[in-house]
Amino acid sequence: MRRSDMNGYSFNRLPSPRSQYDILPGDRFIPNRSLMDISRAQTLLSDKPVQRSPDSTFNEEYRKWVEENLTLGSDGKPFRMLVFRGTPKSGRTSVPPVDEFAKEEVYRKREEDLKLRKRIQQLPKSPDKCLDAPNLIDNFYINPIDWGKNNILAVALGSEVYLWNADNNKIQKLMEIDDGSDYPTSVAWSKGAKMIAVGFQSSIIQLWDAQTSKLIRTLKGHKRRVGCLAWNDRFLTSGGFDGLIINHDARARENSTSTQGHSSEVCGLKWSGTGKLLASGDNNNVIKLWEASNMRSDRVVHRLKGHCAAVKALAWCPHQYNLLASGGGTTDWCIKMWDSNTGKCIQSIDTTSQVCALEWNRHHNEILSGHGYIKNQLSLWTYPSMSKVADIVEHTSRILWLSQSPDGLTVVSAGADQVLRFWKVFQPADARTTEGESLFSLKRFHIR
Amino acid sequence: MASKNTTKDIITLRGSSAIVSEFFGYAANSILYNRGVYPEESFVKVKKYGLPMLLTEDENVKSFITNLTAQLSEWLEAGKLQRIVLVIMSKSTGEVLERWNFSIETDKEAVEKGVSREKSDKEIMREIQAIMRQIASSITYLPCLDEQCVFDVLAYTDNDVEVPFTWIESDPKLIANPQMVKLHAFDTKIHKVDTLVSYKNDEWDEE
Repeated sequence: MRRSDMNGYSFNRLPSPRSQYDILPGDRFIPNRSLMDISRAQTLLSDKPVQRSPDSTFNEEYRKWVEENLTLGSDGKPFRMLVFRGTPKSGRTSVPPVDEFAKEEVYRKREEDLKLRKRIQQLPKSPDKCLDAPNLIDNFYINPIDWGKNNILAVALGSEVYLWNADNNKIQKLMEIDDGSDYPTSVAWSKGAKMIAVGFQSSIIQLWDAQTSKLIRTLKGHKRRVGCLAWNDRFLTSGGFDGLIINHDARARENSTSTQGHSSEVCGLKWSGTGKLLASGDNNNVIKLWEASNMRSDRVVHRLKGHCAAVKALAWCPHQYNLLASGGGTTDWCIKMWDSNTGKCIQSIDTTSQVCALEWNRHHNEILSGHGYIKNQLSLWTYPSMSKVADIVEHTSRILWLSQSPDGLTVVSAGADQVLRFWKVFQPADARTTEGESLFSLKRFHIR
Repeated sequence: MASKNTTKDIITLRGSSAIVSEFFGYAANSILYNRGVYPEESFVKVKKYGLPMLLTEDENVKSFITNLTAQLSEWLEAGKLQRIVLVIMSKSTGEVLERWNFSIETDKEAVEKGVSREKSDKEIMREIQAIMRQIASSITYLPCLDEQCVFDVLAYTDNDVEVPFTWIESDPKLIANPQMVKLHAFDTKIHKVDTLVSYKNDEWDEE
């Protein structure tokens, strides 16, 4: 009965008898009496309806308080009711009459100006904190900083890796490499921040246990410097100067798959929020999207072409899972938005400066970009309009790296001027008041 | 890749969450097709659960459902999701016509201690298949939806859950005096999903 010729939607077939009949009979069903509230039904049938006059002694406030505090689900557990308002569902919005439209335009512009001014006021005028980072190497192709979920920032300075605890300001040296010619070129905290991976100029990768400061394992496979690292649950993906992308299973020994992903150095490597897609940017201006289960070099899901310089800055949008933002280097200067389902470029903004890093705001629809010559600024943009909110200018040479705190409120910027600057640039999500209202106002998006 | 398991029969919390959120994605598409919320031409047939399942081609609806199933998956892994409800409302009056309720029971031990359970993948697929068949055949007793309809997805979560700003507080969108039909359930041994559809009585029947 359950063979492949069975069309799930044909109602003419009677369930085949006896031998194939199991506990799940298919599309026929018998109503379950457990749902019927027999005693209530009985009452309703037999008793005369009682007229209840509204009790004037009942205080409206009291009732609200009771509702708020004693709302329990049918299983006795308290719960929250949430409705999804993420992306507007369809283009089938009705067209309002013309003059109403014009009035709405004016009102919207004024509202937007006010919002913009308020947002600019909220931006920090100076960094919350500054840390000296001597020996921080000025190289576009390396990734020496990473802020882990344990709120510890790992920084590779010269031949050493330091851990700075953002909670108590303590600094601890994780490791130092003795070989004079070698130095760490990338650091990455694992998802739970139990391990930290360090990639080196000499092509090896070391896995360290952060709590005990012990070396767990050394991973090999690359032939040249390992510039990029990205964790996907227990897999560590590394990208190197040799164009190879290697997936290492951090838990099993000698277990890795290698792909000749690119013909030039891999500059950017980021796993999507869901862990299903990997985006890798190279020195030949191409971004490639890979599926986790299928990483052979001929099985690229999409090739995103459009940049005309090395693509190092890559960032997946935390609230729209198929949206990838990428930034181009010198002479390209563009931030491009890509739909990972179709592989098409949705938007492209010329920022007039080399884009070295991108960070999405997890709490609001904004994206922060780090730049180089001439202003060496941090730029904040609203999404999807991609209008610039403000520039934060303070670095004296190009910003090369950005990293976000685990609570998504602070961003650290670092660059050639060897100073780590911490900015409280992102605001926390508001509790369902004006901000949520205006971004996803129900009066503008029909429930579709 | 991390979330799917290599051996067939061991189910981890992550694997179970993936199964449940994927199920919801397909179930939502099936409901939208069968209830006529979106035109039939906008759907394409794919093979899943051993049945021809229909998925919408409309980009907006697709990304809406993808974004929301991704969030559901997160909540499921944290063990914080109690129920998911797909509500179908009349576009003109906003009145709730149908409520597809998927209640979820999570095995607390699996969430807290990370133990994995054993259940045959085939068995789970069969249970899901049965539910999908029931959804398809539900059009035999559900009242006709003549007018243009819209849908919404509600989530019942624990109080202490982290909510991204893409989800807002809502009222439960209940139907007054509904007719309810309980459908089959499926169980991954970590998450048990019960299906129920409640709908507004056809006025015609009241006579």
